[in-house]
Amino acid sequence: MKAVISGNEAVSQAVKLSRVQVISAYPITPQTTISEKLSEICGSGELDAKFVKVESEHSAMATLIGASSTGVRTFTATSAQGLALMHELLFWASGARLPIVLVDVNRAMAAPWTIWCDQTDSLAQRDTGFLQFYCWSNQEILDTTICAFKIAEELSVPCMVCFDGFFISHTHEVVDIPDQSEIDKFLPSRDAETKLDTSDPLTFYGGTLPNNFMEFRYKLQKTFERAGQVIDDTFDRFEKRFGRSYKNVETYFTDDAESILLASGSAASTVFHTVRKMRDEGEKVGFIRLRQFRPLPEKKLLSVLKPGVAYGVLDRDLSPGTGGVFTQEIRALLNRNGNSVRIGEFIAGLGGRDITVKDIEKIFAKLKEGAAENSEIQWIGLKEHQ
Amino acid sequence: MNKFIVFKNIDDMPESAVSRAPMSWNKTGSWRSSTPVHKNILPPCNHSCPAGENIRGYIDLIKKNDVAMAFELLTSSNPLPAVCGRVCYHPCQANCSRHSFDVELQVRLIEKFIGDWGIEKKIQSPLAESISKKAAVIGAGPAGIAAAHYLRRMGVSVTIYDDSSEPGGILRYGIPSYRLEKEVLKSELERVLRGIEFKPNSGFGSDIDIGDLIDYDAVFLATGAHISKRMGVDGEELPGVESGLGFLKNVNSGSNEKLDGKRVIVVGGGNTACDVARTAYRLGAKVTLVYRRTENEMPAFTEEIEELKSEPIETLFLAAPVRIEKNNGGTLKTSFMKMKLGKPDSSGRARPEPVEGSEFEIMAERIFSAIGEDPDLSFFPESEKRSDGGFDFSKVDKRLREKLYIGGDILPNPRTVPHAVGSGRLAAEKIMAKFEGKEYQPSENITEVAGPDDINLIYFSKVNELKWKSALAPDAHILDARTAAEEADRCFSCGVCSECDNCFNFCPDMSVIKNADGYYVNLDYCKGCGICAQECPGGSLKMEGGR
Repeated sequence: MKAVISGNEAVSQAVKLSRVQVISAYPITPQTTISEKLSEICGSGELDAKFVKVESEHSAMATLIGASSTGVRTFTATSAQGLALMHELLFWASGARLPIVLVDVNRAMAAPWTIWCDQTDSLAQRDTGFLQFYCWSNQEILDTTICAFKIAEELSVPCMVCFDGFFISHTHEVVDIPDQSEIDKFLPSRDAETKLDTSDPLTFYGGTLPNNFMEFRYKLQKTFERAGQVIDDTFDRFEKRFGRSYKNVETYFTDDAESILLASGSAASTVFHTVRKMRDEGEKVGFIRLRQFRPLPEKKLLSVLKPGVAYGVLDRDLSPGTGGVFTQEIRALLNRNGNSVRIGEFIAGLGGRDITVKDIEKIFAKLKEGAAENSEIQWIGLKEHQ
Repeated sequence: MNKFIVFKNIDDMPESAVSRAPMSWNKTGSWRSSTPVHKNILPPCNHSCPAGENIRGYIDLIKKNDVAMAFELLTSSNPLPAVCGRVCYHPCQANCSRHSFDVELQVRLIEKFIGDWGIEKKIQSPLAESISKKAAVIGAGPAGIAAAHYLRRMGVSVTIYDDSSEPGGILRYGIPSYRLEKEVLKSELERVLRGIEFKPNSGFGSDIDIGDLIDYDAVFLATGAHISKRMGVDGEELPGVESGLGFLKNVNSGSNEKLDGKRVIVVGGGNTACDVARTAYRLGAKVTLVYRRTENEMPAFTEEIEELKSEPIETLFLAAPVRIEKNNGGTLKTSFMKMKLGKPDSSGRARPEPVEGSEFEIMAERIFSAIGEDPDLSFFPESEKRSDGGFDFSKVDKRLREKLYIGGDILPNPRTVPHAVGSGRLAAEKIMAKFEGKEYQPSENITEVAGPDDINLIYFSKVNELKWKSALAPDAHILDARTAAEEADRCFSCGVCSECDNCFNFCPDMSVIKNADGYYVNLDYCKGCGICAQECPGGSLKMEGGR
């Protein structure tokens, strides 16, 4: 069934189709309409799930940690400060190996107070042990959220699905909503190996001494190392059943490109549009979309980043003192593989500022002038010094 | 089990730190420095009830819509709920923890509802098999009735002697029918006196003597206090000057006296004075109540004073009679002296002192004195009044002395119906203990009383306005089963577990265990965090120092 729905509603539809059993969320813009819709769906009985009202995001994640430990499928959604408030418990979720799915509607971190988009909130959680996906369309949000449950449950790690606040969350698009019966075949109910059950008490996540702790971290790392294959396989199986294809890294017009820009989220669609326009104008430009950030699809990135091309990374985030998080990660990847590819670092669109076609054209112009060799942050769209 | 697993190989380890065994070996109770105790303490309502009712208990049953059990519980300590729901002054309400929160629980109306329910359903109190003991009860007032009732319930053969033709004492002959309908009293007494022999017109000392009593195994004496105190003024013997209590008895005995247009003076400030004034007003009189102190010192129940003030009865405070004379036309001329309040006397109230040269006169046809009553113990001339207001019966005929129990208004208690009922039940319990050859033990030994600090108010919401309000008028604000349950639902359950499950639900260590008998704390694992006690709405769960 096709429907014109917002990005947030695409999440709610995916959660319903995934037959989530426990939902707990605390309202925060721009996520709020997700949990509102879910509470309606739970209230009306359309989804047979327990919707637990809580007093904070911290409690929402704590609720899901408890619920997920009993073996049920769980979901929450949040943004910015709400995600930051969950921070401590995100480690609990991954350390406990719980396949909780969290949607983060990207919003810049205050102060100053803001409700508008950038990706610093979720990128700041990169070390918590959550898988991370960044979507650019409402259809992709729905499909990725459904796959997120399957991937998370197969790996026993939590998963974060991210997309840009307002630009995507509140924009309506045509979305093909799969039949429930098809989703049920693709995503059967969760089969947890260990369940919290008061009639058969076990000890969960208890005190672990130095003689054992490190091994659990090692196992988590190993799981993330094999996660890439599980993710690829899951989206391949999704494509076979539903006909829509998603890759961890997607390349457009890269084969003969002289300048290539890497981007994620809603800005990626502006880059895509600009690249097509510039191609029409005869410019040899290309575009790489980063869909998966945790685990970083290293092999794929190394295979697509080739010497002799001027690369730039568009970061809608900032790690103060260092720069863009995507840039850091990709530079580190290249460096530890002895790769001589150089990439330029472009920061744009913080706190919801528009990233326009002109901005992208400006980045390509800079890349043409050798900006990839520049190791300093290049700010795009910043008010000029007088 | 206390087996330590050593992982030698990473491949043996699980993905997450979930052990295959419970943590029960880790007895975290050893961390505890204070211990939660489910410790029921006295709710202030129960504590203040002179009749010893378990008020919180029957309120809880009403809340659960179990009127039958509520009736059983209530009548296990007070056989007269319909009467007390009307005439008791309900100190339970004055002491209710909701009093300072919004409005005190309307226990009176609930008690009246339960009592009326028992009458309507014609409930019969269970009577035990006869135990071949017999007891005599002298006086069929509330104390005698209660003693007789509980003795009979426990299998004792009981005979009540009373100098009146019908049982009830002050309830029948003192309290006006606008406060206690005769039908209600009659119906309640039918139940309460079932299986008990009542001997009317058998006044002790006049119709019967000690010789009539010595064959009984126990004798309960509760002849009340109905000798009106004398005003001690000249002219007190004049026709038209009467005892207020005597007037009430006449009216309650069915006298057809009319006071149409007559001027009546009532002297006194207690319940009898109020009843006399209001009864006289109902018989058509123009009434002036004169009291030597102010309204604040009136010993009558607050509600009686309020009701009195709502009627067209004139009140005159700070005045006392000094002389009564008869005018030529037969009218009584009473001279009064104005009074002022001095230092507190032995009763703790300000002593009234005459104001020199302040004499004034009031004309009236009738004067009723209601300044207090004394017990008539002329049948025991050897009894002596003690300094505490009670009487010493140690010199009474020794054939009676050993088995004599005293109750009601002869005791140095406040003279109220619930005090009388309480004294009657207590005597019955003591008599039974003696019959069984045991030392008397009170059924409950709790002394700690729950206060406002014991309540976690977060669990309660205020009512803006009560839909019903207590009143002495019997037809006012009648509660039914639904409204009684609604009102009962406001109860804080001070100091007594209301089985709300909060301790069970909140315990982070699942150490509060619930079973058929209630809750207990598994001290092997309770860390003493105190969350259960904090979240106990009524304060029945307390943290106590140490393990």
